[in-house]
Amino acid sequence: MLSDEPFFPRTSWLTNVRLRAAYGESGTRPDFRDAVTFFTPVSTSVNNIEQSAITLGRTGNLDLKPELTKETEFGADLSFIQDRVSLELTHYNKRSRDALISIPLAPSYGLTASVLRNLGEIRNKGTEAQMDVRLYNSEMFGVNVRGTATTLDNTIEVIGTDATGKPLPDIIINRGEQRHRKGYSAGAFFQRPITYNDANADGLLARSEVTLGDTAVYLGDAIPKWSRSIALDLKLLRYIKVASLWEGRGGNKQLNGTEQFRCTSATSFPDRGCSATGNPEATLKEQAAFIGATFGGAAPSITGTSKALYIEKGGFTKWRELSITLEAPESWGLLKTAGARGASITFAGRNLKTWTDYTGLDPEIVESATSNFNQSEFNTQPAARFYTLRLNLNF
Amino acid sequence: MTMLTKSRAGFARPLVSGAAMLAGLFAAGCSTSELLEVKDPAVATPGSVESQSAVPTVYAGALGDFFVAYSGNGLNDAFAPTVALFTDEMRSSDTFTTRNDADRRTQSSPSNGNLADIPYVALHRARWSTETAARLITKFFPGTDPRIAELTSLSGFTYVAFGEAFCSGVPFAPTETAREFVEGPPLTTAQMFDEAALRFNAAINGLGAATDAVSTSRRNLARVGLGRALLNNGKFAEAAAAVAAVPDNFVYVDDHSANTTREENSLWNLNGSNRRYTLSDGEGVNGMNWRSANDPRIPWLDQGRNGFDNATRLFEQLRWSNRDTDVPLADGIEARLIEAEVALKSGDVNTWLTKLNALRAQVRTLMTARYANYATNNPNTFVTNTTLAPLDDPGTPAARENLMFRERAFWLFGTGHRLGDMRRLIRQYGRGAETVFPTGTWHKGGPIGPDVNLVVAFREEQNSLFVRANCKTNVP
Repeated sequence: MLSDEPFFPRTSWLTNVRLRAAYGESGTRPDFRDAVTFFTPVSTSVNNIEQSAITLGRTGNLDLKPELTKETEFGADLSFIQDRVSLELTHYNKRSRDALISIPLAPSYGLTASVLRNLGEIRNKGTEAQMDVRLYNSEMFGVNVRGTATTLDNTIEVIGTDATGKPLPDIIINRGEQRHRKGYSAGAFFQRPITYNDANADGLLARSEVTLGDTAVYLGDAIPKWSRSIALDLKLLRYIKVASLWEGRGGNKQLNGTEQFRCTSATSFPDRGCSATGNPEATLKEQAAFIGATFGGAAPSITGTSKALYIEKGGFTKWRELSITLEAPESWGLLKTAGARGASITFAGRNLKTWTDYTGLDPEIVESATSNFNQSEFNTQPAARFYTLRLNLNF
Repeated sequence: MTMLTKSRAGFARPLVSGAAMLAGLFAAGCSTSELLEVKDPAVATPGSVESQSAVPTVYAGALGDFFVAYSGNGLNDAFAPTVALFTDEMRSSDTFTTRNDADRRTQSSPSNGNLADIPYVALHRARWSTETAARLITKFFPGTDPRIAELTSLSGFTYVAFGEAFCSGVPFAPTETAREFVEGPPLTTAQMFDEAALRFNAAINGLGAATDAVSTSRRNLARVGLGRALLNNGKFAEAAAAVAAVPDNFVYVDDHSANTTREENSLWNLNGSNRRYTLSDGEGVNGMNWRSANDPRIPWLDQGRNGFDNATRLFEQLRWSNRDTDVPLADGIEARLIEAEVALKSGDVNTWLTKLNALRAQVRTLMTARYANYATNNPNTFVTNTTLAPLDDPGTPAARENLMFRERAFWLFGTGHRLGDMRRLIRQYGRGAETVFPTGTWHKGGPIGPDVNLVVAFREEQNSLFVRANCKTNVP
């Protein structure tokens, strides 16, 4: 507590100063049976007689070790103007060694779909800040604001070697648009770039006017680089309370898998499609995204397609919540008649508004939140906007 | 153990506990990783099944993996159903895009996932299971145990399936070192059939001179497999020689059961039960007239229902009329068809026609012996025919080839042979893909695409030896 020390200068505006430093090590163990190759019991009919049988249930890795993380953290807690303003700042640097990563296995091994391995080192560093400001507080009125902001820099620093000691190539995950590559964020987006040129200026792109690059290039991180929030609490005329919350995050990309699937499946179903396939006013970018993902452009030097133009900025700001509460005065006669000590009525709404450049349904949703760094929307329902009206009676 | 008096024990307990704690901390401090090395008796590991007593279980497991891969289960598609959908045997009556894409020969980008992913993964699993089980049995029962020949042959059939259905460039990791993640190089189509032939020959040689019924059956299984592999590689005379000793009444089946979903017959499930597939008739200009032929080899049923998409009429094939109906993998019919084709190839039209007509003369006997409930569950009056009318020589080489492949198509319907035959018509008989495969307008609209083989699963791109660019889906 720096401000308690005798040498610390006393000022009217700086109330408290606390400095923090911490170092810690922790381990993350693999889940139960992750290390073990085992068979699953099944039945098989052999000459029309049921037999006990087994089939491979998991490809384990007996060399699996716990993931070890070392973290250093420095921070300061400051308060100003008789604690009416407080600020917490933290900077951390965390390094995970033997990071536990699920590696997809080529089917030609004949084994299961993936194996867990301790791969290299992943560094996470960032800053977290929180500020509380009590702007005004009286019996009749109050204004409090609370803000948070975080940054995150995630980098794979070492990616390990294969069984023969060779450096591992990129580990391609999910549907191929994400990969782990040394020097980049875990699960970053990589795709072959798509360029297009409406040479005849007719507003319609032909396959010959779309070109795919030969090599997948980095398009952005899947993990958000920053987040922020602002919460506001108001008290008006003693009995009216208003609370609101805005949240946001960004610095990452998101695969608009719903749009990509709608567009590419249009070749199978004439009654389906998207703007790129059915709207004469579709932008050139929409058309190029469809052609690149469906056909791969005009005679690319290597075959294949690219979802590059369906990988969009995933940043957003959301008006997450607004609530308005009316409290009944304790002296209200109706309360006494009902035998109640207090009452309030609250009207609240959640997920009220989203500001984003993302063109899909919602940049916040992911197809599989528990999956391997998944950051894609695929026919996923966004968080619903809803309103509640609540009556509280205290007895 | 030293006995302590009460008073001494009371004094000693904290010391013992402290020492135990210190020892635990010391041990943990030495290696935290050792905490993970816990023996788990509740699961079977590769080490725990490395015993003579585990052989029957491992053997049954390998058979099950093969049946699931080749003719499927009650959960999803497999090699034979996917071949049926991709060719002219079945049409999609489904809403799932992967099945529709396969049916119209316009498979999606590998990273989107395709129906072919299922057989691709399952066939490799079956290859690993059968070869691993065969090695285990060899270890504990060296000699001529027919189970070794059977599993070796089934591994051979996985190579045949890959060769017939996928591109020239499918990788195969050696099963002995798969768990050490040693990658395998891609094989060309011809190399896949050569690898299959190696396994069938190994199976035949492994049986030695054994004459018991099981050994004889497994020898015939290997012979038919060998004939199929050689035929695919254009080694016609050798193919005929391989199957010459196989009797007409031989049949080896993929065993299906109603006991668990994993054991169910996939074509029954996908067609009559879940209504995802419907029996075709003249699909895409070139398709066989499976229904309108009213041929006793293709019994079928129209109950006036629609398929899963509620738009496509459901026609049910009745070869597999129950969830437990077995699927022939290799039989005497195929042996005679190989001989007939080789005769035709060599210009011996009389032998060719004689072989085909001999099979047709015993249609009811052959079908009843292979398909349970064939005679009882069937409303088609034509299945009561005991024979099929003998064929006449159509007179021209092209017409004879057409007739040969039509006979193969009707006898071997739904058993995973059709795609290999269509690709052979292109490779070995100089036909154009658009004269062999369904073409023109797809039954739900839009054009039928150009694919003539199945997409290798996207996950294979983790294999550094696999070259996607060499694995094209429009190359026969």
